Amino acid sequence: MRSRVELGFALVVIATGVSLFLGALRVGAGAGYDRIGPRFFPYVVATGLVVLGGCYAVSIWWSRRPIVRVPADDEQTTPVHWRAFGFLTASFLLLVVMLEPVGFVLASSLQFWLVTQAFGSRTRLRDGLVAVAVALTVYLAFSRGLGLALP
Amino acid sequence: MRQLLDGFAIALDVGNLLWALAGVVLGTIVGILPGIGPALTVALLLPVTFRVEPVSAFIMFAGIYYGAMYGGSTTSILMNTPGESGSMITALDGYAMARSGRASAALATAALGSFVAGTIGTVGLTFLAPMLVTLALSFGPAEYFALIVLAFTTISAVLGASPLRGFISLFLGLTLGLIGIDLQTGQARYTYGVPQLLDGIDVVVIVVGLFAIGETLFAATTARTHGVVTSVKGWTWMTREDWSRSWKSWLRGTVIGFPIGALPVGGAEIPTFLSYWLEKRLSPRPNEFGHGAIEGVAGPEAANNAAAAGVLIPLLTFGLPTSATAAILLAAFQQHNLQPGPLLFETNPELVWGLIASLYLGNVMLLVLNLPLAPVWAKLLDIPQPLLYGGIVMFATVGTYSVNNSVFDVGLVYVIGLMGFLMRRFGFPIAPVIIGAILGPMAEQQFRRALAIAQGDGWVFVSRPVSALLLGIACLVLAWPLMLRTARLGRRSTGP
Repeated sequence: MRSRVELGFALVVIATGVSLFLGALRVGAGAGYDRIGPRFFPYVVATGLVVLGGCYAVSIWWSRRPIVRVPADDEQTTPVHWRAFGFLTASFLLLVVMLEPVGFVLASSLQFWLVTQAFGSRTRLRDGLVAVAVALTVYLAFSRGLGLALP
Repeated sequence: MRQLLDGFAIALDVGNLLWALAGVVLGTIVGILPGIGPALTVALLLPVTFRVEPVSAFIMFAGIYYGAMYGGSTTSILMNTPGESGSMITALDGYAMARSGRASAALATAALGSFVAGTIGTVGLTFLAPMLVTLALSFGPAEYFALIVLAFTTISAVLGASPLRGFISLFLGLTLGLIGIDLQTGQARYTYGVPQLLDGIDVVVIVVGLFAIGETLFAATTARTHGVVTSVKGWTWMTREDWSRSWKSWLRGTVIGFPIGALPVGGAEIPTFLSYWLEKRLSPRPNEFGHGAIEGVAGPEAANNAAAAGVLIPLLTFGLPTSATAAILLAAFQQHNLQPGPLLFETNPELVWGLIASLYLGNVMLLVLNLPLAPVWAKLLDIPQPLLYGGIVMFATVGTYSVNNSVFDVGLVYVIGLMGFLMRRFGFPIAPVIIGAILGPMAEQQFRRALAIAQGDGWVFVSRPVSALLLGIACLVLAWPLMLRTARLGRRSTGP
């Protein structure tokens, strides 16, 4: 099971290499006086990714287990909490959508609160209050104090 | 020497002293808190300090850098959870000491060892840097390219679980570095018509994504038991025996840490491992190790801090970062339109020497802050985990948004965070990604410049002795594990 997921990551690496290669074809050749143009390095990186991803895939395929037992392996094999993952993803989507229309304080407090929920916090009201307090402090300190432009 | 005194004059300015103090306090805090480290902190503060005088900003960054090394050891000792990777080894004997009621002795030897090593390392930096500047001035594009290739290979081969993983990380970083307008020809690469990508992905976005968001995703989706702080009972100062067992370890740790930090091999982890191994070999009581041997705390902690000073040498003299934090510092220089390297010593002596002088002062401040206050700092760990990560994510938003005032970057940070999450999950090291993303464009530029000077002759990298030597070492680093393996196999097959 785990090796299949890892194989997926290897394929992502290879796919990144291939798409880099295809993308490099679309890069303009640039002025002629340059011996090697802006395409050369993308080709090198693309080749590297494909080769390394290939080696990685082969090593997983052969051993059907990670090449090296990473010390923190128990951390990495525990199943993913998809609920937490969903909360975090939602918190970011909402933030991106809301940041400019409703402003930093509201959008960021909501995100803060969603993050605490992702970690399974039970004290919902306290989290909400802390979220608003921190967001307000940050907003005042950074936009009034340091002159950053926060929406 | 004169220049150093001038530097002290700058660093002792009241304003700069306050920046240094802010830096070391912040550094200690982020060193203690899990999920947030010096690289991330400097990245988040980059946009904020854009309007601050460069000297003051760098004095603060240096304080954060050194402070995190001190803070990291506190959690290792009290909780068995290293705040920084450089303090992993400290946890072995430090936590054992804490559990047997000698927490304050462990904290003291760690703080004093860090101070001794940090100060000696800074002295080394003071005297070695000007010498290396002369060497760096003789470097042309070909040599620079070779040096960067060497840094790439050593960093990827050494960090992480296996060289293969390290190199995949590196190439993913190189990929991120390719995005944007090609510096030499003005051609857009991999921007897919998105105007925000033309300037490339900002380093802040990459670092915040990989560290802050990747770490938050990892921590939230992987249930982990939270450690318990060992309370410090009473104040048992280091005994006479502790002193006599510690001071030699401090010095040995320094001797190991400083050169390894200064070489482009990167990371504060290796010298700590080496130091621990050495202390165990030299100790008359090797069986005490793992059960609270004070040398096992003193040596690695000193090595850790000496390496931190060493890392600044290639950064300041060659403009070559060898750790994630150093890579961010390089980006910080670039944001202030400064290019670290030999010329910086000529054009901005007050910045360089003010920075070096502030390292001495920062070390003193850290000793004062950490020796009596370590248990107070450890109280920070009482912050509930959900609130801590909520705060990290909020600061991540502020930091990335204020780079370009763009919501696009905030979205991008999540995408890169996902990548960081997957890499953590599959055991890929993060630092090579950042080094690759920052040094990749530099490598390409130097490579093409060297070829242009040599009129397209690709042999230029081999015909120039220094670059040939550097590339040769890089090949050796690559071939070394293979050679070891074949040698071992050979021995086994010829054996009985």
